Amino acid sequence: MFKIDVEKQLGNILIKCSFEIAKPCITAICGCSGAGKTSIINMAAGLITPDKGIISYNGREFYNSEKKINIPANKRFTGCVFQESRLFPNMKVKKNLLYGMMRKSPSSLNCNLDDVCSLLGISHLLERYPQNLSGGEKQRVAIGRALLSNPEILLMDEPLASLDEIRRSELISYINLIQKHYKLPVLYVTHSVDEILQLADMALYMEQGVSKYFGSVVDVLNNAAIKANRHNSFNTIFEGEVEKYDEESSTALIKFGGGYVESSCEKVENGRKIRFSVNIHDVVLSIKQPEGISIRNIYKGKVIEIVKQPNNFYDILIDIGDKIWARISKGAYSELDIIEESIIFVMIKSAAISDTLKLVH
Amino acid sequence: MLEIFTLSQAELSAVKLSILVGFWSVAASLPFGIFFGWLLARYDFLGKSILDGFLHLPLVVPPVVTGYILLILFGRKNGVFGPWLYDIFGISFAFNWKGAALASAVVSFPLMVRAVRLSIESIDTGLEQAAKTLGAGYMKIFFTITFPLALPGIISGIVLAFARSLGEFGATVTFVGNTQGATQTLPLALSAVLQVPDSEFYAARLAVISLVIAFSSLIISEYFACRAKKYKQSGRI
Repeated sequence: MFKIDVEKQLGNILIKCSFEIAKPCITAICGCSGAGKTSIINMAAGLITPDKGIISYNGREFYNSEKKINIPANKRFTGCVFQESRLFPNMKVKKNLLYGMMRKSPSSLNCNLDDVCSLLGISHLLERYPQNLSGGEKQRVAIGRALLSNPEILLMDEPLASLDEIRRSELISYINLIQKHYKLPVLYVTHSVDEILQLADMALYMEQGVSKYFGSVVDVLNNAAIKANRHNSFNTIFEGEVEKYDEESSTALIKFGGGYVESSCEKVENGRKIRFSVNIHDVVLSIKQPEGISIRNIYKGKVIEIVKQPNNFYDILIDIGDKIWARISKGAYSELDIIEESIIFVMIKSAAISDTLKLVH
Repeated sequence: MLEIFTLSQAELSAVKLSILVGFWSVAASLPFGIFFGWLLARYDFLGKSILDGFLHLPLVVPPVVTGYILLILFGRKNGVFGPWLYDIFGISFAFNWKGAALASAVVSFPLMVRAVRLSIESIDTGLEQAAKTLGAGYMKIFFTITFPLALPGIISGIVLAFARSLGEFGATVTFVGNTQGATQTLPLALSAVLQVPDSEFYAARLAVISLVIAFSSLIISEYFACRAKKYKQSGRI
């Protein structure tokens, strides 16, 4: 559906990126600052030109260095939302929204002003100037403006970075709403793991200009976390579904690859997709089936990898259906006598999970 | 007593001519000033610093030299383009107010380009990029985003250029001479009066008139610039 495979020398960093999105979904582009995330968006939008490669959408080529195709930004039908809203200060909100509406787009989106305004809750702002809007309102208008230009793909470059926590969660639900409503592919640049966990269906991890991992959110984040924080603590991320919610004890029973996990949380409906993470320090290992202890989440698994850390710790990767990392001290390691292929019991405290629960929109 | 305020024929024509020359020099150079200001603010190209230097030349070269170069280029009989312009378009700059306006325009051009360039440079390029991704071409971007937002700077460029042409002396006198009723603007009239013995009163009167015109044009421009800025801040352009 959307394919990008490009190279571009930018200063002393070589951007080399290739991935392909098969269906309309939210794809997060993550990585450290300076990893080239924004450059990818700018190349897709046509604001910077790659040195070589291909960018195509639904078989139509935006850019192809071999065929010397380079469609200018104003004819690419991409809707962009930037970190700063970039609303035109000399126009009222309504004029801002209508700015891109005149163009004829091959997309079948056919947004109209009223729908978009009510969807984003900005109908009451139409007669105001951007200077008189709050940060969250500005970004909603910017999203509306991008939608009304009838884009075939939405490109969002850290749209929530300049907002406070409350506005952020509010906008996350708006972004999700429009993606579901219009079924657009969205490329979403962010460095916030929280945003990825709540929003994204797919993820791309960039490192020093190179696209390193691409795939499901859980896989990419787990790989990236290990890569970035090998010597510090990091989390293993899981994806699950709410199986049952017990209102009396405010606990949800979540089904995931390793079986079931119990965690207290606010009320959620059954079947809700949920992501959570477990810090490597919050995992307890035992070689015998534990009995008579307070921990409720116990899983049987097999050791698949042991990594010795320079600070006398050992990181153990265990397959319990999903893969989970645990960190133990040298003393514990020699006492437990773990080798690869050992069968081992993994225990996770519910409290360690409940803080990390993220509802996936 | 009243005769203090009664201007002579020569003074009256100097005032009218000054305003006429100032107006046309600004009007004619404005489109070019905006174009070059925009070009220098928004694009990097080969020879940009040379072009920049060339546009700034009239600011650093003595005005008499500018007048002399104009004479070489646009002299009616011996100039490079002069005869050609006259034959084809019937335009002649020699010894008339058009020549004075051309000299003023050339001398004040750098000031206008600078003001326009600075105001365009201060506009976030992100806005233009956003407009581009919304499907706007160069023309639409310029007229809906760049120009309205640069307006305060453009106005101050206009005033600077107008004030500079009011004070223009060297290039004008070299290029078109000092003929009463044809090329004699206020500074030229003042200089002519000073050559005549016992004319201090008339010299002073001309000086006061120059001051008044210059000052009121500054006030008017300040008013417009303030309004434009206020509108820009509150977003009402």
